[in-house]
This record gives sequence, structure tokens and C-alpha cells, in this order.
Amino acid sequence: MSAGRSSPLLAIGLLALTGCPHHGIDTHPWNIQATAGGVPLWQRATGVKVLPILGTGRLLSPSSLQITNAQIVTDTGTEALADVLLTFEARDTGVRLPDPAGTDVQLVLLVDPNGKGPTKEPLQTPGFLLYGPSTLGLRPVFQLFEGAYQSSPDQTANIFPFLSIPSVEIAEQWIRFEPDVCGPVYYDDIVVFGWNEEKSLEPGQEKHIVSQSDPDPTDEVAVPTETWTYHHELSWHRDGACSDQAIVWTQLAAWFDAP
Amino acid sequence: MICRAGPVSNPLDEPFEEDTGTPSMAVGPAGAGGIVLEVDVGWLTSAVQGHLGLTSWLDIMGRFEAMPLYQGFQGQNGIILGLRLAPEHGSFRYSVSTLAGREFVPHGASAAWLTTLRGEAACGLVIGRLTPYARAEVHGLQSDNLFARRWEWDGDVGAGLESAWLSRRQLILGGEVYAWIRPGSGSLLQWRLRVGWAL
Repeated sequence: MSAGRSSPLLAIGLLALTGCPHHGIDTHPWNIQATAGGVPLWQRATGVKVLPILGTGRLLSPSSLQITNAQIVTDTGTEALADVLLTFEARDTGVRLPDPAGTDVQLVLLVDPNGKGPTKEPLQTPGFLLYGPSTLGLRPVFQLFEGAYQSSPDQTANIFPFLSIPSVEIAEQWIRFEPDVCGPVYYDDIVVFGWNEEKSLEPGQEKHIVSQSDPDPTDEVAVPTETWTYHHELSWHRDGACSDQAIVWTQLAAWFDAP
Repeated sequence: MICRAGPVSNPLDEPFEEDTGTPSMAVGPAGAGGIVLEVDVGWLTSAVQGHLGLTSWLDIMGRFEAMPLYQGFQGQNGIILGLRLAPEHGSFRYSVSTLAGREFVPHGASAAWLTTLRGEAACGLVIGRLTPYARAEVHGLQSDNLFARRWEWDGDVGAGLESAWLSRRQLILGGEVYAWIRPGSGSLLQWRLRVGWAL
């Protein structure tokens, strides 16, 4: 073979030996932080726990809320707290906290001192549910969740449905992946189960879902319904992971659409 | 002794004939009754496939693909059948293929079974033993999740070079670089080496 004729094949051969284009999924956690007087509230728990906090809410920015006159509900009653500051990293997702405008709120924090993020970094506040005022008293208006919780330990059953109104499940998919270093990482969907309908959301999608607003309606003919907007930021699972990688990841937000 | 004189032709009177003898894996055709067997090796996807010429311009093809270099047989494995139309036999060739099949991804004790549909267009220029070519392919993959059954689409755009060897040019060696284009996820550069045998 002449040198001129072999050079294109040689170049392709060299590329073959060197080109291994690994590529992962960029994951940016909400990184929820909740403090009272500067002290993280997750430190009040030794395991996965829900911390209800009452007070007066005021929006500092679309992703930070201050609660004054704060009280935490404990097993024995209530305990006064210093001002509570709740923040998360919304980036350019379009997710925004509702503005309580100085009215009563209830913040239900989900804390897990052993919680981990997508690179197994500490992530001790995986979610929260915010209640705001309505004509019938406080009602859920906003929720945020993220976590590396797998479906097989009972963690998902314990954590996920509690925060989800309506309920949410992960729909494991195998049709789109990134060839990461220690194995492919597959994008997953979520499925939201509303009143008489379910909707699947791909990562990055946002959809409205009609939910049953009264979980125990006495009038079975006219079930009261309401609309929520679900924002699916990202979900994935790995088929092979390096030591510093979580196996699964889910990140979503939802908010009540005021009538 | 009887001598039978045949027609004597003047070579200058014959029409110009293009080089139709060089087989091609990328653009075909296999030719009526012809078979082209091929092994592709790529960092992400590798495959064995064969083309059988049903007519001079229509091939039926079968393909088994997996990810042996990247993930063994634990990644996306596919069994795919298709048809390829390759009407030109001369120096400039083009082909259009349509394929359908099933892919399976083992996980734990079970596997995800997916349906795939594909379409490919390729063109090339046969220059002696060499065939530079370009191709574009669209892949569709349907999930089997009951609550989220949907299609995901991506594609390849690539260029490569084949070289035919041995006395009848039946051994074909080739290499290709291509961009794996994923809507919403950007593109990744990929490569594959190809070895074929034309019967």
C-alpha cells in the first residue's frame, strides 16, 4: 500500500484508538437550605424526619423565604425558633416560590441527616411543602423535592408520596442515555397521577394536572378538583456507577395554580 | 477444421463503462444474489450485519448490534431487519435504507424491550479501490413503560472511506467518523472500523 493511500486509514485507526467520548449528565441540585438563626434545621433530626414550622412568611427573592415569629411543632407541643430562612438554587429553571406577603404560612421540611446528592455530596434537606392561606385556612401551595432515593429500599414509599400532591412515580426509561465513564446514565420520566388522569413528564417538561382537592369528599358526584403545575427538572438512573456517583436522581417542583 | 469467425469489435466503438466491480458496504448494492457480510467495531456501538441482493438494486439486510467495547452486552442490544434500495452501480452511488427491529437492555433479572425504527441515506464515489462516502441516519426508539410509552429520536451524520482488496476486491476495509446527534443533549463524535467480505 502506498503511503498516500494508507494515510486516511491510518488517521481513522489512530482516532479509533484514542477517541472515547464519555459524557455525563449535568445535574444541578436545588440545594435546599433551611436555617433558624443561622443553624441548619436538619441538625434537629437523627434520621429521616418531617419538621413542621409555623410563622409569618415573606418572600426575599423568588427562591428565598423568610419566616418570622417561627415555631416548630414537636412531639410535645411547639417551640419558638429564631427567624427561619429557606433558600434553594432555582438557576434558570423558572421555578419561583409564591409570595405569602406577610401572611401565615406552614413550612413542612423533609430532612435527612444522611441524605446524599448526585455525586454523593451531603444533601440533608431533600424537600419541603409550603402551605399558604386560603378561604378554608392553610393549604398546600408549593413543593420542591430532590434526592438520590432508590425505589427498592422503602425510602421512596416513605418520602416521595408524602410531599406529592397529587402523587408522583418515577417511570424508568431506557431510550435515551449518556455514555458516562462507569456506564450509561439513562434519563427517566416522572408520572403524575391526578384526578381521573395521569401525565408523564420528560426531564425539563412542565404540565398542568387536575387533582382532587378534597381527599375524602362526601359528595361523590361532584368531586372538588384543583389544578397543579408540575415541573420535572431531571431524573436519571445509572447502569453502572463510579464510587462517587449516586445510582438514581430525581428533582422536581410543583405549585398550586390559583383559581 | 471449421473456423467460426465471431463478430469483431473495435474497442474504440464500445461505450465507456464505469467501474462497477468494487463492492461497497456503505452504499451497496450487493447485486442480485450477492452477499456482503460486515463486522463494525466502534467505541460505543459494534455490529455484525449482512446484505443479500434480492435484485440488482434491492438488498435485504439483517443486523445484530451491541456495545461490547463500552459495556459488554449489558447495554443496548439490537436485532434489526431492513431493506436497502441502491439503484446506481456506477462510480457515483447512493442508497436509501429502512430498518425495524427490537432492542433489549438487560438489567437485573429482567430486560427492557424496545422497538426501533430507522432510516438511512448514503452516497459515495467509487474511485478504483477506494470509496469515500457520506451518510445520515435517523433512529427512533420506543419505550416499553406502560405509563410513559413514547418515542425518542436521534441520528447520525458521518463520513467514511472504504478500500477494497484482493483479486476480486472482495475484502473491504473501512473507517468512519460520525456525529451522534441527540436533540436536547448535543452531539458526540463517534467512530467505527468496518471489515466486509463480498460473496
